[in-house]
Amino acid sequence: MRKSSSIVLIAILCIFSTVLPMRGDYLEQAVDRFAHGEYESAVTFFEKHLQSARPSSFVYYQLGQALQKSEKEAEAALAYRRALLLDPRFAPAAEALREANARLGVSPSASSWKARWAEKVPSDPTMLLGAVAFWFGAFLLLAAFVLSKKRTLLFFLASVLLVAGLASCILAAFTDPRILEAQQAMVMNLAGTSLFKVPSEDASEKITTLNQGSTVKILSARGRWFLVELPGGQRGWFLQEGITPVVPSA
Amino acid sequence: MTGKKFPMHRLSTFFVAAFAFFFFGVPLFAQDATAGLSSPATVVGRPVEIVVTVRDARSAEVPQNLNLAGLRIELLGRSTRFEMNNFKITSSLTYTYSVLPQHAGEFDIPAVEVRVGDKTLKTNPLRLSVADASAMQSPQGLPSSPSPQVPPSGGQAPRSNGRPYFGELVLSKKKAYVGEVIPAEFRYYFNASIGGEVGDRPNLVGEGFTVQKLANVPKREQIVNGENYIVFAFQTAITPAKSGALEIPPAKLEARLQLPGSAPAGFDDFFRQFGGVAPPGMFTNMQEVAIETAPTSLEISPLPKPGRPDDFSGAIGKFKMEASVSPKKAGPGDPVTFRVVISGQGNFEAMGAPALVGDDEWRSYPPSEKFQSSDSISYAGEKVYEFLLVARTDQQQTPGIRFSYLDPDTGKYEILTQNPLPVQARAGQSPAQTTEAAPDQKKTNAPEPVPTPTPAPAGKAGGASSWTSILVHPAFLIANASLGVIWILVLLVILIRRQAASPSGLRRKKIHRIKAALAALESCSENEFTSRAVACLLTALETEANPLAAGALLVGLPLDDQTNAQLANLLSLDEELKYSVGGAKVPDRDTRIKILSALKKIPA
Repeated sequence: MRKSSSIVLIAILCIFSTVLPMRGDYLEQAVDRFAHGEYESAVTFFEKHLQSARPSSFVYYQLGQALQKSEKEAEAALAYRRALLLDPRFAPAAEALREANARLGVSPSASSWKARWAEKVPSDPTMLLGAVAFWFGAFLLLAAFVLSKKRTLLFFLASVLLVAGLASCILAAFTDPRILEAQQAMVMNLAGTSLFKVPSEDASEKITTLNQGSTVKILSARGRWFLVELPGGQRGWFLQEGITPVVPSA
Repeated sequence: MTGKKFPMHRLSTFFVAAFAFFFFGVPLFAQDATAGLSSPATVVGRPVEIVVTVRDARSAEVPQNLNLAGLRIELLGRSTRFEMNNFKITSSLTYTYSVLPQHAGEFDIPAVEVRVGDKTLKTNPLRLSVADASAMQSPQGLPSSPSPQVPPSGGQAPRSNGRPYFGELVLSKKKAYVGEVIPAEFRYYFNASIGGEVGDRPNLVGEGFTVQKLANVPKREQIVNGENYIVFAFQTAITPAKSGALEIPPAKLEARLQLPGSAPAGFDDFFRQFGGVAPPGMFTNMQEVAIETAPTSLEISPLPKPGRPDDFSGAIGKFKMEASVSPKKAGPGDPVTFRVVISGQGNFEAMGAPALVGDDEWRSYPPSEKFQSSDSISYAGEKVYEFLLVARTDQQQTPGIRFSYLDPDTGKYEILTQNPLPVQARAGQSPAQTTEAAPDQKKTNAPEPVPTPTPAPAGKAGGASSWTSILVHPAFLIANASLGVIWILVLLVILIRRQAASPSGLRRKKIHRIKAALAALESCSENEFTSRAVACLLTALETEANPLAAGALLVGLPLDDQTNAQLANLLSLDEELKYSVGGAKVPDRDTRIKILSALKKIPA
């Protein structure tokens, strides 16, 4: 009995000793393959690393570079976009995405104030700081109720902290690209994808064709079809094949 | 005749009754009025006819002339027509107007009001295109109006040759170039007196040309050789693929029509009894027919070589070009969008993009293209090309643009040019090496340097490590919810304490204490009664700490004398109990009730 349990324990330890360093190995191997010009192999290892590890803007940026070297422009653009979703301040990814879009013939989208804000201020820390300030203000308000001395000052401080904290949280939520672009998807078909008025492949119902690399907003899904909205506000139906959500599905 | 014989006297009675019913039953059928033009288009000075048909009416009143600026419309005459289809007799009145166009333009002829008895019927409105006489003479002239693209047979009426149905192919020209788009219309005419069903669209198969998807044109009425016909038309565009004589084969349209047929066996005998034959149109048969257009020949020429520009990309037609740039100011390395719009009529789907001129200082990429057709056959419209340009060096203006096409009317190549547009574009200060290299390497096949992934810039390799915002992270939500609950609890405690310390809270507390003391008093033993009653009185007077002041306080209470005396007696009993050596006597039952009643009267 003791012997069999020892064998099981050793087996578990062996599995852990091989699996745990594997994550790090994937990334190291990917970088190594990239350095030796084996881009497609590097792409495979970057993707394996991303499947097993937490997402990282830098790894997505590296994946984009490997894809670009493999002449997969649309996939590279998607990787750069994902890198920017995780870290909107990542300037090299923004530059690489701009170049990739230009090669794909995709017009640059108009930069909104939300995007410009996200490029300057990180969302998660803003949200955290806002929450801390809000609750500090809230408890200070309670203290002002209880204490009789310096009550006005406490009320003032509590109000300032409450308003500032709440504003920070709202701003962070409204400018977080992961929330804003949660419904975005990218056209990956080499020949582009046709937009139809109704969910039917009848050529007479075709509205337009979007280039590879174009982004759309998915509003709803019906069978094989997505109801999408183009950046200009036009709505139509796309076949699900050929478009990939910008935020990877879990 | 070998058909089954019917008893003649019964049969004749039946038919007389049937005739009477259907003949006098005519007014029961729905009346309506329709109008049709003998041709939807004409030229100035060439008259056309409007025929107003009033069905199921024996008399009607119509206006003698119609007032419409630019057209002289006068009533020419009237005719009556009876028809019998499968025992249904229909009578129709036909009024013919002459329309003389006085100047060119598009005319909307309003509905004609027809008065039948007490009712006023209205016909459908009509539309007449009138061209200048000179415009219709050009054999290769493109249609002046955007729709329909096909000239209406040059004002020539089609020939029915007495047939109840026939087909016709109308082409905008008989001579064209390889790759040129030729608008065409397949028309199928059906005499208005026959009914039936028409197929979805005609079938055209041939070699040496391509055909656009056929587009339905709304059904219309047309007078052909004095007969009213329903016209089903399908517009398309034919593009020749090779030079030489091009034969457009017949295009077949399937239909099931109710055509005049022979009377069933036995009916001829009946009519012969009356010395005649069955009236024409009385019996009809449903027949499946295929209506064909006549084969048509076209003369297709190759594209002329003399004068062909080097950048000719296959555009044939008549075009205009406009260009714009946005944004007008671009930051370092930012692309600008150079938008070129080619509009007009021609082979939009086959043409290539315009060429950039003087773009050495710009990095450009193949443009995106989007075609917006303004008709149903993709012949007219506008095609938008968007070039993305990135300045290699600081630039004050865009490149120029050049677009060449063949004008099929003149047979000459035309060149449209656009001068550079003002723009302020700054070159990228340090474009990413890896991304910039890719397009250049494709062009020059230069050896690729050994790359390494760009290292993470200091302090920028962070960012989020999750696809979900912290806002929806469970830990964040739980922490906030916990803080919220704690905050609410603390607030409740504070509020309760404040409430307890308030005058009303204190008063409530005092009442509670008095009630408790009275309750204890009611259930205590006789020996304890006096001390407990005094304790209750001190509680009510709030002078537990100073019992000696109770007497003075008692005087100030708003109580009647008897109650006051009872309570003063209680105090003296208590003193007696405390200070007398033998001890005080226990109050009897009546006294206890009175003291209890007096204590209850003390106001809180």
